[in-house]
Amino acid sequence: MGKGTHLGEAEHLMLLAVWRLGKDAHGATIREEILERTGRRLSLSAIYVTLVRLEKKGYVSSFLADPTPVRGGKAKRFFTVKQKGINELEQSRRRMERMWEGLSAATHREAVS
Amino acid sequence: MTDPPTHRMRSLPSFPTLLLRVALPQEYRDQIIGDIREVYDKDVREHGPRFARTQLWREVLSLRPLQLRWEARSLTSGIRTAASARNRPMQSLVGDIRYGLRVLAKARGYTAVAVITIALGVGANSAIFSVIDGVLLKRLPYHEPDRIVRVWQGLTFSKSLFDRFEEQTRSFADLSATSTETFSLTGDGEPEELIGAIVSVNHFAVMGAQPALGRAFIAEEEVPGSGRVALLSHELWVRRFGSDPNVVGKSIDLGGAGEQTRTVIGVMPAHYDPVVPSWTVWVPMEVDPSNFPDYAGTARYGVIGRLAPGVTLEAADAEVHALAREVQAESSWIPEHIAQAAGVVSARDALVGDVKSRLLVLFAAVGLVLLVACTNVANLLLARGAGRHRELAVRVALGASRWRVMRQLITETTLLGLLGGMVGLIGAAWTVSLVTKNMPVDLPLIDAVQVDVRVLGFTLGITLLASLLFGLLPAFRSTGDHLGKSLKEGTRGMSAGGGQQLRMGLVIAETAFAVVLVIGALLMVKSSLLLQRVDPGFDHEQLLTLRTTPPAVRYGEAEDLRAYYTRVAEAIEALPGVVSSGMINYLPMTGGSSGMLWQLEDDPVPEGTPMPRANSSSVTPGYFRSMGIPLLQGREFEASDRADGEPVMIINESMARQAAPNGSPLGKRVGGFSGATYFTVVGVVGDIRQYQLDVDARPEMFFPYQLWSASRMYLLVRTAGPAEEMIAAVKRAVWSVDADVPISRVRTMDEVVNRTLAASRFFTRLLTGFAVLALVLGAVGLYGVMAYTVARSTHEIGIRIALGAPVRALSRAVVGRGLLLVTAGVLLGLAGAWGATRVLSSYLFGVSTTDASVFLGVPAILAAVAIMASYIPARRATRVDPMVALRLE
Repeated sequence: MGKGTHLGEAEHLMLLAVWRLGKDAHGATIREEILERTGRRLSLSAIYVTLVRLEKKGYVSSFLADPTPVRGGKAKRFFTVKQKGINELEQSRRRMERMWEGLSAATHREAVS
Repeated sequence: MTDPPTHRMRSLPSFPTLLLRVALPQEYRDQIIGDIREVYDKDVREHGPRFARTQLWREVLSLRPLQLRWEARSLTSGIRTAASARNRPMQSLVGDIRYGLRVLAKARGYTAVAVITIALGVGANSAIFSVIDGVLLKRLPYHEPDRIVRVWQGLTFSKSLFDRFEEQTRSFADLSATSTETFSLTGDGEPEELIGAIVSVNHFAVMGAQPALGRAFIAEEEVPGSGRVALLSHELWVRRFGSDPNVVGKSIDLGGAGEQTRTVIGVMPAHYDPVVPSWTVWVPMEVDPSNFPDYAGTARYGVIGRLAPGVTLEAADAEVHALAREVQAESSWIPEHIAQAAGVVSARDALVGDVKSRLLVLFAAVGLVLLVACTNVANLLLARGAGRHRELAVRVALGASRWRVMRQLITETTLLGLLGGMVGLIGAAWTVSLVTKNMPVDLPLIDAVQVDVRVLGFTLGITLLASLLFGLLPAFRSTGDHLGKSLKEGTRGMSAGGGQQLRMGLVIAETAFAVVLVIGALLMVKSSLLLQRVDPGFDHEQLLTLRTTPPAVRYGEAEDLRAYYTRVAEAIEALPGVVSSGMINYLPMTGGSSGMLWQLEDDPVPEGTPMPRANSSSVTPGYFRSMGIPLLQGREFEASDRADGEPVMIINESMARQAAPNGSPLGKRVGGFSGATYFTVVGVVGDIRQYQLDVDARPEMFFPYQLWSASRMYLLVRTAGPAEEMIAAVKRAVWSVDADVPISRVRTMDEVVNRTLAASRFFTRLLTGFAVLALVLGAVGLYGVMAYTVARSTHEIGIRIALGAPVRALSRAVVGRGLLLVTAGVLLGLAGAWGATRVLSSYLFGVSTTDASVFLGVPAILAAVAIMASYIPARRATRVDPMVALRLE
């Protein structure tokens, strides 16, 4: 998993999810977004582990909203993606695209001796 | 987002949530639990509760919450560089943990066996502890519950005796009189019999409890006629009044037929445990000054006291005992054994009764199971430690200190312990919720039993303790000073290790523990079997019973009661499928009885000698026939045995032996209890066990219901088919006579008899379960040691085979060695059991605590287990190919 500044896959997914959700990014919606788009069912603690790491790297920031009667009076922690995070996503995407150049699964042929 | 506005959040299952709360870091806890709740709710709606629960458990078991705790910590304390972190103890501990997890993950089979073993041991302990905690340890919901005592249990106080105790004792801040009564709640729905209490107005002050709704009794309410008030239990309030917050001030009818209306003044809190668990309603005791000072015939009160400040239980006990002696000296009616028992017991002991000692026996049993489990894991670790010599030696060679290596090993075993403890706790939570819901016995305070933070704490505690127990010795052993040599000597150097003796010692120890448990369990099983074979003296199959309590206000006169019972009997016997029916006021095997002192008219008891005592009950003519109690002499009661005729009675065999040791008691006149009236014995019936199957029959006399019209009667209906199928019809028939008479305790007589056995059966089953667990663990341990021994002496066996040793002799030697170990364990265990089974003596029926067949049978069982456990390794020894074995060099 991404120990340096580079994004690991989970971080990548999470950062995109936070970005997509805009103002409504908190644990439950992030999980839902990833589940819907990728079919992956992540545990909430795993999501938080990644988010905490992303916050540590300065890619996202978070704030606590006031408790609401729904959710049994528990407060929500909302996450928003920071400019630094968006920059990193862009770079990461560019790196990937460069690596993908000229490749396609459809044209791939197994090297058979 | 698409939720309907009325949608309400479900609450999360409490146990996994508790685990989550503990695991999650505090700064994110609430938000994550909130998120989890949202997701859980959605899962329930979309995939059903089962799926949602599985997901929740996945969340817990993924261990991510713990990882998050770690991530969060490094966030708050700043990021350290890897190099400086290496020297910090916490960081290196994390390293140890990571390494340990990796080691455990690599050796899956070994980890699984160890974790399961620990889980069984710890789980059994957690389960029993949660019961002990709920029943014996949790604070009772009174103010200073330790100061509340039952005074002179076993005696019913008259009002005047109560007054005397109030005046002449100094140990109590206050005393409260209570009397258990039955009420007939009529009104909305079926009439219902309620068990409640008449209590002195200061009762709740003495208990130190306040109603959750409304108020408690006030002093004025003891004036006759003014206290038409009642307090309800929470349970009754919820069940019968739909938790109506406006119930205070409402009128309820406790006497039936609108004739004993009372105003509800309050509702007790949900967690209030009355001194008698079945109480659901309280009314104030009325004190009529015109009745002073005698109150003849009011002897019906139990007494509860609150100890005065500074007075110990012992001091109060002594004072009550002394006063009781005084009272007994003045009034000879108090039997010696009751005077003997005078004293005080704590409210908890009064509530819990003999359950306490059974629970402690079970606790000791699971303690032994845990010891067996620990020994097993220790053995496993020793074997592994031997296998890891090289790895450890390399570490030492690279400069690790012995302490450093030991710490790594202990971290590993603690991880192992925690994993096992967690699995065990989950198993315990599951078992406890299953068992408490299907409890075959009435365990007082059972509602307080749950797996909560306290149980979690206990589990963590014993897990760590167990980890030390099974981890320390192997860690010490495998880091001994021979480590340095291992590298040089190669593999063969290890086979000479002294660890083998230690391992054998452990096997002997666990065998001994298992033997103690198995003997205890077998004693209980034997006792249970004997008990089930006891003939109660009546036929309890196809027999239905229920109790009718005609409201006193409507059936105050004896004639009315008689007429009512007669009409009920007629209505029942007219039903198709009814063979016969009868009634009695004290149903056998339900605990109730009333005793009377008696003498013969022509042979009175001399002055100064105590009169003999006999149980007495009122029965209808069909009673003996319906119960299947044989008539031995004379005749049964007939409709013509009326109040205005000659007073007659029937006695049982035991009483006949006392009344007429040599000859027939028929025609003898018995009395002494009811003024000058003497009753002629017209019949003798067979003895039955009136209390429990393990209590012998006592002398008993029966009176016709026309002479003694009891205020409530148990109806007994012998049916042609299965008794359960007649319940509805019988109830309808009873209500056809008077729809306002409550019917209660509807059961088959089979159930009644089984109920007296339930507690003992349940206890036996649990103990047997634990014994089997210990036996299986012991067998696994023995197998492990034998298999290891064989594996290690492959080389030696190979040489022997190569030199022509007979293969059979070799395998016999292996089995023989296993048997030797077990024999040593069995001998130790027998010695231990000889002393330990004494705690069971009061639960055993027809079996002595040193029953020969059990003490001889157990070694046979263990020998069989030992042979099985060593057989597989023995076969393996014979299959050693000498060429392969020698090539190992």
